[in-house]
Amino acid sequence: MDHKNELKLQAALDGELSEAEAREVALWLARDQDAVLLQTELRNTRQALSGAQAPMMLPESREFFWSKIQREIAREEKPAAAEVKTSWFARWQRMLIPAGAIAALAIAVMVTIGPPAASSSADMAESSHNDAGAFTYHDYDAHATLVWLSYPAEDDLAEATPADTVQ
Amino acid sequence: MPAFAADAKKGSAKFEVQLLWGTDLDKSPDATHKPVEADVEKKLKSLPLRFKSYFLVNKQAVDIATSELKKVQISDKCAVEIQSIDNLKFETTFYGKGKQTNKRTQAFPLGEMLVHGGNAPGSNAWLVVVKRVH
Repeated sequence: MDHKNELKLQAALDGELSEAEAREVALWLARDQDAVLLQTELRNTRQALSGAQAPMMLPESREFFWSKIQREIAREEKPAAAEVKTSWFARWQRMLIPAGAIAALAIAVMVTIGPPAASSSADMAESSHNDAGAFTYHDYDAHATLVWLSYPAEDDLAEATPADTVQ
Repeated sequence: MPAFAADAKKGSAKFEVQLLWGTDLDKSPDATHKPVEADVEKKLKSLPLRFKSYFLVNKQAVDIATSELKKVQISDKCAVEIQSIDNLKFETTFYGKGKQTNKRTQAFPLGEMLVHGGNAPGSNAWLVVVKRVH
């Protein structure tokens, strides 16, 4: 039995269903033994609980009690609303002051360190390929650049002739 | 002193141009080939190349003074032109079968390596390495 139906049984017990829904549950109970067992269990539990706890009585009426809570909430909300109404200038000032401090710090650092050394060959590299399929790859750590050409494997270009010697 | 400043002071640079053969074989069928140098191999391993072994086919050294241009014919079909712009920046032009294939201008500090490569028959590759050694 799914949870939805279990809740329906509980609601039927509590008298919270409409007439049509109550008729539907009654028809369901007539053919489903499991539902009958569950409803009996719920009824027994309800009866056990109803005798166990004494009802709590407020010293004042319900309406007066809730109006006190409402007044307290309204009282606490007023200073928060007042805070929101700060001037746009104050808001910009709050943003600009730290931004300005960071910018000043960055300038100070740059002036101290100076322009970066041209330590990466790739930063200054320019390439022009006559091979449209060529690609270039640079490894910064290894200080190595690969230009791979896309020409098909041919003996003419690729051949390492026996006459070539190591010097 | 940083390497760049030292290089500029000297006014000339020495390069090695090497022709390599890349393959998945453990041993080259050409007895004249030698194993690639360890430092070159280490740099090749950092590049997106899949070959198991590299063999040195030919090697030539060249001295280039500032603003000087020199051409190295590393094989019958491959040549590399190196021009010093200011002894820090160099322009390399790679020629294949007599035609200009690629021109690249970059900083070339000591130890920097530029590799041109392409497919060779039998799922192998040829590579021309330009390395600054001084």
